[in-house]
Amino acid sequence: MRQKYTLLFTIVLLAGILRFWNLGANPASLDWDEAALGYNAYSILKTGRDEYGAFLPFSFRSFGDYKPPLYVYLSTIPVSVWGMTEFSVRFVSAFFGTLTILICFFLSRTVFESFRHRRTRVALLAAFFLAISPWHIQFSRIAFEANVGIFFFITGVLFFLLGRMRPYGYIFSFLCFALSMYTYHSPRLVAPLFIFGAGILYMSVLWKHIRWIIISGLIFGVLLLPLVHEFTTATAARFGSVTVLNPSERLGKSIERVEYDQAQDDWVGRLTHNRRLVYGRDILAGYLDHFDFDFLFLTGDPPGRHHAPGMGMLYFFDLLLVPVGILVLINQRTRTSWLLFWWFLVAPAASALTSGTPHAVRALLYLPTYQIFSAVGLSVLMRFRGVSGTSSIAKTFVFLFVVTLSVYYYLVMYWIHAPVEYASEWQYGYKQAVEAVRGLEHQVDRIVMTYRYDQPYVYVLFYNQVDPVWYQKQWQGGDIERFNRNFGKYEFRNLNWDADKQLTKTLLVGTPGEIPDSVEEKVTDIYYPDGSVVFRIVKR
Amino acid sequence: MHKILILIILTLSLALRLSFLSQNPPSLYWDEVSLGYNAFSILTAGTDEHGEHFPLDRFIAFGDFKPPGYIYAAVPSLALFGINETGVRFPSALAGVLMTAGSYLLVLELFRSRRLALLAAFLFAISPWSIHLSRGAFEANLAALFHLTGIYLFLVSRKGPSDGTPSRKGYLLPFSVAMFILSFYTFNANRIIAPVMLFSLSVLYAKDLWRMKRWIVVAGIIGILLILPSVRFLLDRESRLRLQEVSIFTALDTVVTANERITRAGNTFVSNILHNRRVLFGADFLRHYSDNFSGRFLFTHGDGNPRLHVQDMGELYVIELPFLIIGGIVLIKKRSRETLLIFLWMLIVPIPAGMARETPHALRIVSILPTYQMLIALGMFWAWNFFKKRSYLPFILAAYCALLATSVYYYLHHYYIHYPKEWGGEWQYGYKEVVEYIAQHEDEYDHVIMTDALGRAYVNTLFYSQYPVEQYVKDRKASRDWYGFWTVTDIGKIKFYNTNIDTLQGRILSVETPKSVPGGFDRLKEVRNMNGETVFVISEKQQ
Repeated sequence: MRQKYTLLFTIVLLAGILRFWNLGANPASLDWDEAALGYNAYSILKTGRDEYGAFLPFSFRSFGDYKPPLYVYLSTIPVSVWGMTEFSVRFVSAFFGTLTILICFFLSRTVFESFRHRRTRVALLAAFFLAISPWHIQFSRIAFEANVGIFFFITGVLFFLLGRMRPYGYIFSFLCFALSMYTYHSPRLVAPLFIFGAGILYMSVLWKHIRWIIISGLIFGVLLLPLVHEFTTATAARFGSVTVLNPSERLGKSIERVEYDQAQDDWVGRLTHNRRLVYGRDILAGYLDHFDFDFLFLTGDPPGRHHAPGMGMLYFFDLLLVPVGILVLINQRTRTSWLLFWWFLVAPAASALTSGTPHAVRALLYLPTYQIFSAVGLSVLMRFRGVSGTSSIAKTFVFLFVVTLSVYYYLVMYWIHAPVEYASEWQYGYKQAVEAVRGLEHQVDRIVMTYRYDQPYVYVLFYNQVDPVWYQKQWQGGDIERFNRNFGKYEFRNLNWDADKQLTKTLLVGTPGEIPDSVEEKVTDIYYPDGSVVFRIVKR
Repeated sequence: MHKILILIILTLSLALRLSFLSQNPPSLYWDEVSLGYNAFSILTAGTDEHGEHFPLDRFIAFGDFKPPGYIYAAVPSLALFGINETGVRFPSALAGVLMTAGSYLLVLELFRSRRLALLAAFLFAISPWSIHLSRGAFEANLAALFHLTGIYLFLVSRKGPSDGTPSRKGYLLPFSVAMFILSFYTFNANRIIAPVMLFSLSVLYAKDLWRMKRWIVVAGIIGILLILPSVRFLLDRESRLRLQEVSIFTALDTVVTANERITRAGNTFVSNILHNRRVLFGADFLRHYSDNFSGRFLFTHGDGNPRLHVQDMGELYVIELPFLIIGGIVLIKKRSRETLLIFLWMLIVPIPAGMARETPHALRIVSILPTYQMLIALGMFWAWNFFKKRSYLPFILAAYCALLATSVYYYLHHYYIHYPKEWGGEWQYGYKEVVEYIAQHEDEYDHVIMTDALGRAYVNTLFYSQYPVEQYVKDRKASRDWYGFWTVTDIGKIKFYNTNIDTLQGRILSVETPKSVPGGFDRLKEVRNMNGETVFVISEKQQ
């Protein structure tokens, strides 16, 4: 018993080290979403309002992407303790990421009741696999709402299963699901889907606790009421910008074909080329993309922010362990394993509706199903007596060797190569540029910063710790123009060198493409870690 | 009963592969025409288009060195159907039909269930993957038939009485080996697939083979004899050049990345191993290899090359997806040699395709068929047993059959109604009409100028005018580049690359794309594709 908790403690400690070690320094810089979360938390902390002056909003307008609110509110705590720094912005994610390991342990133990005395071992393995998971570490070290979202989601599942014994668990379960929906977009679709399937699977059990279910359901409903409004505005706005259900792009061809068919007196053509079929095909393709070998094991999804170079979402040893685990669980035919499979199948549902599949963040709700499958697979393989009757010591040795090698390779990629190869993915250079500009601010009347790397204004707010009371007053209302923003001396727009070089008493911050290298009066260049130029700063 | 059923299935398969064979795909594309003309010249003169007598190792063709299998298969077919589209495509179509029968026999041999075998054969008959590739003169499809037959004969040959006495059908083993070698001679990818597959089969069934040593020796001798003619070519620079052209292992980026990482990680012993370029190349191979198993390829979008696939669905029907998964699980749970055989088969076939840049590739991995149909049939069979006793079985069955019929309708509608219209350009539609016109009116002109804008105009001219090969070898003006590719500039008075039209004296007939009709020419005729767009403009200048 004691050994078990010592092991668990060690695993959580390991997870904590992997997540908190140099948290502010790698990933190499804050990306714009992180900076925006940080500044909004700061703004809430100081004024109770977001950057646009909205009082305690249910979603943060930010860049017009309407971020779900919980991460910002939670971040007010670390920001109040450590100030507005990279570390404090990422703290909430790393903290909940570490806590998730613990929850994963208890969840796996509950799921595998039927394993009896072996369930603790499986649960420890699952917690261990999650602790070293590149997928989970990646998002625990970034201020991404999704990572906190999965914490609440997993906790919700745990309480749902505990509810069978202690029915008040259902209240906590639904509370957690509601919180996950306040944290990130994906659970807004996946959590209801999951609950629906779980409800059907556990119909008989739930019926026994029908009173508790009604109470929890009511609480859930009330908690979600504010979300209903968000659904029609904020979520809809976000969804509209990322969805595959975009009629203008996809339907042209099918309309042509319907017309051709009708010209041939084929009236079935209307059904054959129906737009629902066109959409359905794209959604299914997006869904299936999440099972791509490439995504899972080799190169991950396209954005470099989502993984280390040359790494997929899982380790190569999972290629053996996951299928074995899945087969074992299919053989088990227990209700909990069907629940796990349901979870596994609905996890990418929200991501499938968007373009840019597969997507590691939108499909983050997969965690920790893969790790649980691997744990089951490994525990079975360890017991399996091969033809040669390999001893368990030899097997343990092989396992430790393979895991160590895999983790070592990952850590090398993450710590040595990612900060250099993926620096631009993290909008590297803004911090240095803002600091360089700050020293010269008083010498000029105007500072023009390029929009080429997107959202420069938020970095000025963040690194200059601009007073939110003052900044909120700058906002005049209206639509957000993506490539044009101004406040104080700052102007954010793309440079037009031929016109802008005429300006006087101006600081120009541009890309090497915008400002020629040979220019006089160059103040400084800001470099990527690989030595190429990010920004060129010129004083006129 | 099952005999009637298999006949119906074969008829269905035949109908789906042979009907309107000359009209859809809308026309022969350059590789088909080249196969056709080489077969024609073998038939009429006993030489290939370059005048080589009965080449056995390869046909030079464009300089792409085509394997000889399909061309020889097309010789009798051309004799039978005439020098036309059907004649060129028939071997592939027939291969598709025979593979339907092969699927039936193989499943019967592996699982001893007639129903399962019928189901697999039916699924194969309606498979869009097989139908599409059976309807073009695709060497790979013929090779897939040889591959399938080779595996089947191998399995039958080792079958002996249960008392452990040697198999009485051992004489089939040399035939099996011969089939693998035929596939080797028919499609480039099978040059890798065949030996690996044969080796895997031998390991898998080593125990049975041991009991029929005599036949192994015979098979070995026959195998070596059959391989001999191609050895010289395989060792040649030319065969390697073709490989490098498509290979991923020649990419420079990978090497650069590897070197950068080694330097960044301190150039230590460990970093040299960890960031070795071979690791990166290995990952690159796996990426391309696994592409061939992606869900998008199999179920929703298929091969992105419109010549190889109708673009509006996957290579398999979406509604087969659940049964493929179930079938896979059923097969794994059998834990038999059949399990290993089928999964090895599926894993071996995409190996050569994984080394090439364009993946997934429906054509290069077509030898994987009919494993998918076998798995799906297994899954359906399991579902049948699962629902057999339920009262609602008829409803499920009816609903599923309706869905299947809808899917087949969806496919055929796209394939027959929209495909030839939208993708005529992929098949270089228009050459036939042009060449026939030229053949009729050639005598009226001093020069004929024909554009090569659609590619390989010369071989279309040869094929559709049935140009005698002895004459062609004399009449042509052609050159060969360093990579071994041939460029034919003139055949008699027909010129394909004439940039200086003004210097020509006399009456000129010009065939050009609509945008580049030369000035001062009178338009005689426009050749349109099925979409109504003009592909070629025929025009003339009298003096």
